[in-house]
Amino acid sequence: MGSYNFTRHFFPDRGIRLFHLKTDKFKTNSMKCVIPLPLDPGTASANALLPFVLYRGSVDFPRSIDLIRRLEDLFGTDLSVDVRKRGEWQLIDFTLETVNKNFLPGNRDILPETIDILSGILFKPLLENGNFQDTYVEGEKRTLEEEIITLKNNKMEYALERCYQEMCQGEPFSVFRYGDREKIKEITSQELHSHYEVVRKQAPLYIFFVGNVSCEKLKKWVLSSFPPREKVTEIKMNGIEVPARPEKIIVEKDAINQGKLNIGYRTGINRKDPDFPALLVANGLLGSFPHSRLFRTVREEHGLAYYIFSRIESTKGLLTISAGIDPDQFEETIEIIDGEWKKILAGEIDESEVGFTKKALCSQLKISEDNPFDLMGIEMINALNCTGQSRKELIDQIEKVKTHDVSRVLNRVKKDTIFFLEPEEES
Amino acid sequence: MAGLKETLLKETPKIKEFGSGLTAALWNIPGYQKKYALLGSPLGSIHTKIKIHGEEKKIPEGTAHFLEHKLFADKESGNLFDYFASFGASCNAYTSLTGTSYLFSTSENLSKCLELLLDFVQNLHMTPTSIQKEKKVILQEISMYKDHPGWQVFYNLLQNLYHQHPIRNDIAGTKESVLSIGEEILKFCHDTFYHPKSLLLAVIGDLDMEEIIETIEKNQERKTFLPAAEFDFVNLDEPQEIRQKETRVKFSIGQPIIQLGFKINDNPSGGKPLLERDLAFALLSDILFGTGSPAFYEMYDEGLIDDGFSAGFSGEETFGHFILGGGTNHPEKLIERLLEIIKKAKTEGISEGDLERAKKKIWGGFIASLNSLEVLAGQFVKDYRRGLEIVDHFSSLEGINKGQLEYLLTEQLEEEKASISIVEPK
Repeated sequence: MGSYNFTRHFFPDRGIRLFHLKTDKFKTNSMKCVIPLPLDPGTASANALLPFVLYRGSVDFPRSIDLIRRLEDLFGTDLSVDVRKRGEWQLIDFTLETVNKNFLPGNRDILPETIDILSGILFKPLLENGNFQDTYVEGEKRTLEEEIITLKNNKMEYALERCYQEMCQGEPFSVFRYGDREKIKEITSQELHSHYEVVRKQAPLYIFFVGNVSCEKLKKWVLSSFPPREKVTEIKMNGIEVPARPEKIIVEKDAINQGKLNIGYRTGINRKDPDFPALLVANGLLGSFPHSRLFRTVREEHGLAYYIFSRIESTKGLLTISAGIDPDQFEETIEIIDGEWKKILAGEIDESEVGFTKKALCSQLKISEDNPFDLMGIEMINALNCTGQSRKELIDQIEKVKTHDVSRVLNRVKKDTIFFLEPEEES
Repeated sequence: MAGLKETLLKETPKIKEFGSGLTAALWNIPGYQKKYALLGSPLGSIHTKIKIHGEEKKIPEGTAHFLEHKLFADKESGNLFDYFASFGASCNAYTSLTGTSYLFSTSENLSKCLELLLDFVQNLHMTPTSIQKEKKVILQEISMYKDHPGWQVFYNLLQNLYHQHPIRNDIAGTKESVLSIGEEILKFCHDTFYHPKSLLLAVIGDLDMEEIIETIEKNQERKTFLPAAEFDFVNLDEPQEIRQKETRVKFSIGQPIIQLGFKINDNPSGGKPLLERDLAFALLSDILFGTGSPAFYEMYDEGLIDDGFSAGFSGEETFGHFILGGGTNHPEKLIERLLEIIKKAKTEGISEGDLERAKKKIWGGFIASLNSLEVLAGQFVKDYRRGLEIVDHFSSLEGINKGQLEYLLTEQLEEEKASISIVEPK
């Protein structure tokens, strides 16, 4: 694989950490501007609302239509915003993607202008008597509330979110990435603006860049666009304790055709843990590939599910298994899953499965260098986990994982909560 | 925009036909880790009737998808996923309206993966038991989609727009049609639509051309094939009128979802005209309903739509529809407004400035999408079957004038050809 490693730069007087990767492989220049904020039930709703309100109006672009039309004129530059949750972090994400100048008429470089637009949205909001515009705040409150209500439209995502809520009750991780509907309702434009002032002054800014621009040029553009800030805080690692308690089973009924099963486990392992590569292999062997145990047994051998897979949340230390099943086959499915789990614990593992899984994981990591957003995503998760591990180092460690490491690491993982979204009646 | 063609053409696929009749496009793109291959059959979900040896033959709905599942779950020769996994590769397959695609991506062992891909797609094994088991999985799949309100609203709309065109049903077919599929029809479809003459292989990535050509050549020489049968897909007589004006269903959801759809009857034939229609509709929908249109944020601020609102066209030689909608708390008001916007645009026409801006946006978006090898390969297969090349997208886009948009607007978006589909909370 190539040396697709980011160079890291810290600008304390700006509160900016810049991660730069120069390559001429892509037809675009891509940038992600991430503000990591601690996930907290008290501030989550205001945090979630903030970027959408900022996007609606800035000094340079008072109306959304002005901003969008400018971006369209800049050859459909994509400037979008979203809020995500990684571990107990709420991430405000601004994404920028511009066409590389080689593919534009007159080879005009539009990147500096778009970085300026992004900075203006973040730091020069449109104010009315010192506050955000009421119409924008009210409009975005409504949209966010709808987002929360319509989580129920996607049954798979809803069931997973409910599983997390039940599993992590009382922990920040149980907070939804968009916060809470009732709290959003109560926020005034004044309160939101005061909250913005705190974020503007104190929140760290992580900027990731992949594209065909030298580091010197990028630094110059970023530093001339983004304002000085002095009191910026640093991020700390999440706690990943595994609480000792009996398993919970929660069943919720809904008018659906197919039951959505989610089983939540605690791994107590994040990316800094020496067992992390072994956990990746264990999860891969168990359920994250089509050649994995769960897909082969539950779907291929028994025909019980169309989808079944496992995934890990590497910042909070969780593993979940999700499956779409017929409600009559709830017990049978759980039995098969537990059975496979026990077999892996007991070391009933084929060398070839471990080999396939390691190959697939390494292949995924290598292939990630073909996609600028995958590269930036991995770099961001590493930053949150306070590890500077390169993809090459992780690949080397995965290759060293042995069959007995898989059993050993899975032994650290504790089943916590079963959440089943069950159809109300036979259909 | 001169010079762009050369920049893009730095990388063009090499087309090669092999002795078996298989056509392959080999596309060398240096610097990528991933190597990606896609083997496509022309049998899609909308092909439910063909003419062969002078006779018409029916194909049950969902057969293309069933065959995809069956080739994939080939138990006679072991688990396919395991074989690919042993080479460090991952494989997948999907059925679309107009074709079935089998694909893998890998960073190593490209030749072994290619052989595996060709072997499993070109050999059909089945037993009555394996067919029965696959039916169970497919019925679970159909059942899963039925829990998606977005899927429901869309298919209810297609059922309103079309009387008998197979597009009105799920790609997987219906429960009844899936149960009716048996060994005979699967074998017939495999013989006919998976003959090397019908298949198209696209390989893309940082490639060793000679090695790949040799691999494919040897693989095809080892196999014997029946003579290729000439066939034509037969179009069902689809009336111009819509079947039904409106559908409403209740669902366990938080907010109503609506779609307003127009049946488009002017269906061109040939690659260029089809591409031009796709592009003209994309421009029109951006100008009227995109986030840069005056209407979008007006509706947004009034609480009629959220950022999930979308508008778009889908069409081939036998069908076409323009659909718009999304989640809303005011279904009736939104539908009324959307119809008003179209009506107003019909009298006011399209402005040159809006058209130029929309063109720039589509240009940039298309270039950005070409970062992905999957998109490149998928686009190539679609274009090749339509007789087009990637650069045609740019020349066609540049050539579109406002008259074409106004024609679609005034002549094709007719209110009497419109239908609505609503999913409401229980």
